[in-house]
Amino acid sequence: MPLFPLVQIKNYENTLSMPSEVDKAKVFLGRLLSNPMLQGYTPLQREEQILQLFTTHASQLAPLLTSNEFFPGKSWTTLLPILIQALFELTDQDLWTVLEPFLQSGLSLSFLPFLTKQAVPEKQVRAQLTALLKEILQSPEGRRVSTGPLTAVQQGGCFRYIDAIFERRSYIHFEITKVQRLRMSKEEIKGILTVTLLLKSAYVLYVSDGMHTYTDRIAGVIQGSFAEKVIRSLHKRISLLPLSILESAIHANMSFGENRFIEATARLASIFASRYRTFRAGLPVDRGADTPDKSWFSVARKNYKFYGFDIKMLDELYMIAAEMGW
Amino acid sequence: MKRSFWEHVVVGAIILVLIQTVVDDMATLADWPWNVRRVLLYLGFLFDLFFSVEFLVRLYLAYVDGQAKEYFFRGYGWIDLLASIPLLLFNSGPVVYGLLGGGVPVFGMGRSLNLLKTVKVVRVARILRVLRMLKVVRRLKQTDSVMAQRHIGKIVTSVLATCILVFSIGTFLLQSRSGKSFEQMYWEAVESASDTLGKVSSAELNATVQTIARVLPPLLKVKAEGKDLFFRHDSFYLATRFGPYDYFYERRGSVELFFDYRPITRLQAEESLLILTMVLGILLILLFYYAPHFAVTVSDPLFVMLKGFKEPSYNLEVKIPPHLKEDEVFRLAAQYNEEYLPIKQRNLSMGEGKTSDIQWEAVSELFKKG
Repeated sequence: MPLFPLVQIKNYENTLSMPSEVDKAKVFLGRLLSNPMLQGYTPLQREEQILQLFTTHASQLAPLLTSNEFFPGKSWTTLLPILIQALFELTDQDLWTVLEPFLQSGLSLSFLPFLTKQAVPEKQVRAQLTALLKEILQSPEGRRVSTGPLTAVQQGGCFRYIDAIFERRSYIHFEITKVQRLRMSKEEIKGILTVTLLLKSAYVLYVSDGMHTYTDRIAGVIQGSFAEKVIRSLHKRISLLPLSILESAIHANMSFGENRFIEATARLASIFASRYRTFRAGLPVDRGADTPDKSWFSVARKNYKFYGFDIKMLDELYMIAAEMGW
Repeated sequence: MKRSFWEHVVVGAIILVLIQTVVDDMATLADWPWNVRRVLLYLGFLFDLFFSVEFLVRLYLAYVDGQAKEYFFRGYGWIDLLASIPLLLFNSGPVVYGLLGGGVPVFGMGRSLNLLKTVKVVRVARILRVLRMLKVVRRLKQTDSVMAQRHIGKIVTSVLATCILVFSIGTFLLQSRSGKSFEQMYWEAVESASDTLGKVSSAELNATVQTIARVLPPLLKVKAEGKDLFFRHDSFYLATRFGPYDYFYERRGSVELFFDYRPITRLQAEESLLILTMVLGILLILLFYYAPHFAVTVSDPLFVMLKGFKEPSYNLEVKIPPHLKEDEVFRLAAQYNEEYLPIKQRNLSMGEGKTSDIQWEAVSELFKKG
């Protein structure tokens, strides 16, 4: 079952809708977005929830929204693109209010000199990153595959694990510092992980419609040859970023089971992007239930082959979550 | 709204009547002035009247709805009954009737009318007031789980009701048993003193009275042929400290004897406080020790699993305490954690069964508002 009617969403940019219709849709969507059940979600997560609602309750929504009271004369087929356009605009508004300042000043790029061994014009790197993310987020597929990684960055919960990893100096620390040879402080590692997460979805820019099905395109697992092609193309577009960062970002979409060479930061980004896709901040833990992170890592350990995760990393992250009560 | 207000009033009254019962017993033990104890007795009567009327109204309303049987047996109507009408008939009712009817003529008439025994039954019946605490228990929201509330309610009710009834019936039955209890010795002493003073000659009466008064503290006053031979307290003390049922009167020929009944009522007050403390102790243990245990071992894991089955995005595992892992509930929880959640997660990743967290009811509300 598709996440939402693909054909209609794909053409949303081409739909000529009157501004008043989009504004009207925004009013309705604004009320939907203020639903208490969406509290604790990031803008992209909320967007995904609304799209899911459109899919699962289309038969109930269609007659209500196309009635005289709301959008008279519209059919569900013509109305849905308007709703989606309005939804994307509302999401972008919320998303970029936070993301733009973060990319311009909040994001730490102090790791760059360690990797390039030379001065890097940070301002231009930030501009390139911003432009690329805006491009990724223009397509529905890009938005869906970006939900997890951007939520991980926005919520920031994954970075506390870097602190714990550096304290434990166990498997993940060894993989980062010895195997990947990132001999730098944990703050720099956090920076690398952030950029890896931000660029993880960049592969969708190179997925042509004919290449895969929609589900494949948002599935998040890509093949090695395709990944190398994406890395080369990306390197031409954001040449200021070291190749190793781009490799880390794109390899984060590959299965570790089939590609044992994948960088530790890519493996971590893959896990955290998946974990934060459905993460909800401030969700109370019911009595009798385990903590959210511990539960998630426990389930992920059982599904590690399915998702292509590094089981040893999951084991360590599970231990950290259990010890810290996360 | 009105019903909720009424329920709050009832719970408030239950708490107040328990306080009244404790204070009344303490007043007896501490020998408080009679005018204070009299107010407490009237208050007890008003509470008993209130709960009797409440029971009858509830029963009538349930009957009108065709739910009388349901109310009496499953709705704990039997507790409402035991904790209301018997108390009004055998406890506060006779006391207040006696007070309003002149007091002394009823209570001070002597043991020949067996009224003292009635007074004693009345005191024992006061224990039934503790049953009202069960009504408070029924209204406690200890856990979110309906099952936990029902289980704990059943246990609390059955344990406390058994304790209270066994104590009440046991005390009533034991009082007719022969034996050298404090009460038996008290009555033997009273009987012996009365007989002695009734038989002694006029010449020896005064000396005998003084001798008996020294060894028998409950002897308050002795009169012979209208003249006071002995009185332990002055009339002011008697007027302020003694109520109609704090003493009793005996007559042997021309000799009139007045005895202090308070040692017996003190004993009963001690028993009443003891049962109340025991009931409170059991109640607190069940509510604060057993109820959380039930929640942790039964209702909480079931709640988490049920939520996981119902809500697509809910993926929290059931926390399994290592020492309880062999419990059936936690073996089921282990299956849920190990098998169900991973499959659910994979299915969601593949888009199967994925739904929005927004409930359709909330969306349809938006349309109703326009």
